[in-house]
Formats: sequence, structure tokens, C-alpha cells
Amino acid sequence: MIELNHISKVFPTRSGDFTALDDISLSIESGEVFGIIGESGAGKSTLVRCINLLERPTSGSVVIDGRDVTGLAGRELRELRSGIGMIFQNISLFQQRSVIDNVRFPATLKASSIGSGSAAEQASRARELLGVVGLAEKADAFPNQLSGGQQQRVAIARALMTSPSVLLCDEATSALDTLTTGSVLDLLARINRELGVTIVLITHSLFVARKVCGRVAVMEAGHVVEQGSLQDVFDHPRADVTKALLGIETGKEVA
Amino acid sequence: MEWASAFFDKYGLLLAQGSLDTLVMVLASTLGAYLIGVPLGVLLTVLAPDGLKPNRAASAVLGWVINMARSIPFIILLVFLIPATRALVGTSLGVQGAIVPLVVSAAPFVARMVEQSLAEVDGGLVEAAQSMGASTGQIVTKVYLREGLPSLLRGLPITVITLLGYSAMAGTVGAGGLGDIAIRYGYQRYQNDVMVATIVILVAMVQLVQSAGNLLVRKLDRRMHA
Ligand SMILES: Nc1ncnc2c1ncn2[C@@H]1O[C@H](COP(=O)(O)OP(=O)(O)OP(=O)(O)O)[C@@H](O)[C@H]1O
Ligand SMILES: [Mg+2]
Repeated sequence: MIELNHISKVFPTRSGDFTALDDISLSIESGEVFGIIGESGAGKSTLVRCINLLERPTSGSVVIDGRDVTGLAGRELRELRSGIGMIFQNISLFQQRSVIDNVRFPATLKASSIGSGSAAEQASRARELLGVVGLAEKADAFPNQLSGGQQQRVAIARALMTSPSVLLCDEATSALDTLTTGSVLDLLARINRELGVTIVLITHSLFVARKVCGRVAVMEAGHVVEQGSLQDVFDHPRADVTKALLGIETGKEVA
Repeated sequence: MEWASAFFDKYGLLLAQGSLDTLVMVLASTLGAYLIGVPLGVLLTVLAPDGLKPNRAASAVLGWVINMARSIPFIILLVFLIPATRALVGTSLGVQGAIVPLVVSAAPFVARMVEQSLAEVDGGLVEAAQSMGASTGQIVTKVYLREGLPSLLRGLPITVITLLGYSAMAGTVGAGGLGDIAIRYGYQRYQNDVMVATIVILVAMVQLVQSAGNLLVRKLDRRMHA
């Protein structure tokens, strides 16, 4: 379980301090697919980056499986991160490494004792993961030879290399077309179902949220304005942003 | 034909020795410049305000020292460093004596080129590696240097060719090599044929270095492979 307690994040900027997150508390249960939705600039990425401490909260605490990890540094921080996979909108595959070497990469860091193993063990696990994402035959290709959807699937395989219990997805499908988005979402849902990986998924697309999320939180200007089961939030939206988001979506669907 | 063979009989050995001296000077100082310049370029990248370990003071000092070294014209550096060169390698003359000023002048140049190459590495890759639990050292070796390799390699012939030019200048103050020959025979004794020969050799060397560099990039840049 991931608990975010009273998280605030203040960025010092030239024109004064900017509060990107303002006293946010959330808890994400193990094994669920949790969606974070909201308009651009609401603070979704900043919040999710606090989970693996790519962003240090200015105040508040991050508790994972009962352990306060907010202050972790060095070896312990790297070990924590190796247990949390992350995929990004801009995919970020290593261009100079083959697909299989990309997938192996997290294990070669030896950030944690789990999932490292010998080169041969790493290679066979990487092949197995490429099978899971349906790209076994692309093992020796290079990222620039793959389509966007294939690249994102490689990134997913890479994020799974160290057998993480959590997968953070920051707009993982935003760069993909609708059909490819569907197949990547199916894959994420399957990973959640079959491997029991907790998924935290940022999206600005209600289509995406609807397809995979169990519960969602809606963010606006550094606040969580409402949260609950997908059904509750989408069927009975209380916050204006949620209504606006739903309105925009309906407008689009009609048009 | 007869003229050519007479020329070679007379100057062949001299030119061969000069070419060899130039090659040794350039290759040894390239090696030295990279041994110093790569770590400096990495430091510039890591200590920068948006780097992995930002340190305003250290990066300012380092940047300042590098700019200083780069702003001294080579011909002045050459004279200025004579005492330091004597202390380091025992002589300020010959190939050995030239290597010290060549390294000192090229290392900061290499540092800036390395910094430039590493800046081209996608920040998203650095962040991805961080999210996987990579340490700073691992990010430097496995992300920056590895992903920046093609760009780093493209800088290599630029450095070698720059040093080739500098080595000719070093020749004028007793370093030996093709520059020395060109000055002694071409300038001081009005032997234009010798001067032209050194130019031809230098041009050939530049072409060769650039082609070899391009080949290396093609071989090692994995993105181009089928
Ligand atoms: N390093 C930073 N320095 C200053 N401000 C920042 C920094 N990172 C984020 N912000 C600001 O914090 C706010 C939230 O940013 P964030 O990236 O979390 O938004 P988001 O909800 O993910 O938006 P999007 O949907 O466009 O990705 C934005 O206004 C952004 O400008
Ligand atoms: Mg974002």
C-alpha cells in the first residue's frame, strides 16, 4: 500500500515560490489500478514523482507498505526505486542499446539483490518479459526500428525487469494512437491481473481512465478535488473540474 | 619522374621522420587531452545547475579555469609553459617537449566538446535511469557516455585535426615534425618544394583522420545498424 500523507511541494521560481502540490493525502491499495486525472499543470506528474522520490516533497510523508521512505537516500533510495517501475510519455529507451539490453538494463544496475542475477539469467528473464509484451522476435532490434507502441511495450518490459510491486505510468499512452493505446492498456491491465502489480496511472484521457482504472483521484491546481471508485466519480461528479472534464469528453464524443 | 626520385632521395627520409614525429606528437597529445578532458567534461555536466550533483561554486570555478586556459593563444601558451614542460618531462624541446603544451591547450577544448556531447543526451533517459535506481556513477558511464558516444566520436577527428595544426606551430619552437621542416626549409631556405611536400602530407593526414573518424562513428553508432 502506498500512503501519501499531507504532501506539499513548493518549487522556488524566479517570480517567487510556486506551490505545485498543496497538502495532498491519498492512499493506493496494493493490487489496484489507481488513476490520477486532471488538466495540464494540475500537479499529476509532480505527485507521482513523489512516490519514487524523483521529486522530494517539501513537507509530508510517503509511506510504502508501512515504511516511511520520505527521507531515504543513497543505497536505500536506489533499492526502493528498483522496486518501483516507471514508464513515461516520451518512452525513453536507450538508443544505443538493443531491445533486449534495454530490458535487461535495470538488472545490470544491481540496485537491489532481487532481480539481478548473472548475465545469462538476466537475458533469459528479459526474453521472457519480451514474450509477455509480445515482442519476443524484436529482441535484437534497436529502438529506432520499432513503432511507438512497440517502444512503449519494450519500456513496460524494462520496467518489469526487477519484478516491481508498483508500476507508475505517466501519460504512458499519450503519444500513441487510439488503437495502440488500447493494446498498451490491455497489456497494463493484464500485468495488473496476472502479476498483481499495483498500477498508478496518470492520464488526461477519460477513455483511458474508464478502460483500466478501479479508483481515480481528480486533481486541480495542486489539490485532489475528489476521489473514489471510477463509477462514483464518473457517474456522480461533484467537483467542477470533473464535470468539465466529463463535459469536454462528451462534447468530443458527440462531435 | 627523375625530378621526383631525386627529390625523394634527398628529402624522403627527412619527410618520413617529420611525419612520424608529427604523428607521435598528435596521437600522444590527443590521448593526454582526452584523459584529462573527458573527466573534466563529465564534471562540467554533473556539477551544472541542472546536473546530477549541482554545485554552483565548483562548476563556476571549473568553467572559469577552462575558459582561461582556452583564451590563451597556443603560440603564447607554448612559450609560457617552457619552464613547466622542463620540470615535467626534462626538456622543452623535441616531440616530448611539445606534448605538454599540446595537452594543456587541447584538454579544455576537449572538456567543452564532451560537455556539449553529453548535453545532447536526452534528459528523459537520465531520469529513466534514476527511476530504476541507478547511481550517479552508473548514469555517467551507462547513460551519458554510452548514449553520447556517437557525438563524442564525432568530436575526436576535430580534436586530432586541431592538434595537427598546433603541432605545426610547436614545430617553429623546436618541437620537430612537419611544421619544423616547413619552416626550416620552406621559410628559411626558400625551398618551396619541401614546403609543398609538407603541405601535401598534412592535407593527406587531415583527410585520413576525418575518414577514419567517420568510419568509427558508422561502426559504433548502434542506431544505424539494420
Ligand atoms: N521543477 C519545477 N520548477 C518549477 N515549477 C514546476 C517544476 N515542475 C513542475 N512545476 C510546475 O508545477 C505544476 C504542476 O506540474 P506537473 O508537471 O505536475 O503537471 P501535470 O499535471 O503533470 O501536467 P501535464 O498534464 O501537462 O503533464 C505546473 O504548473 C508546473 O509548471
Ligand atoms: Mg505531467
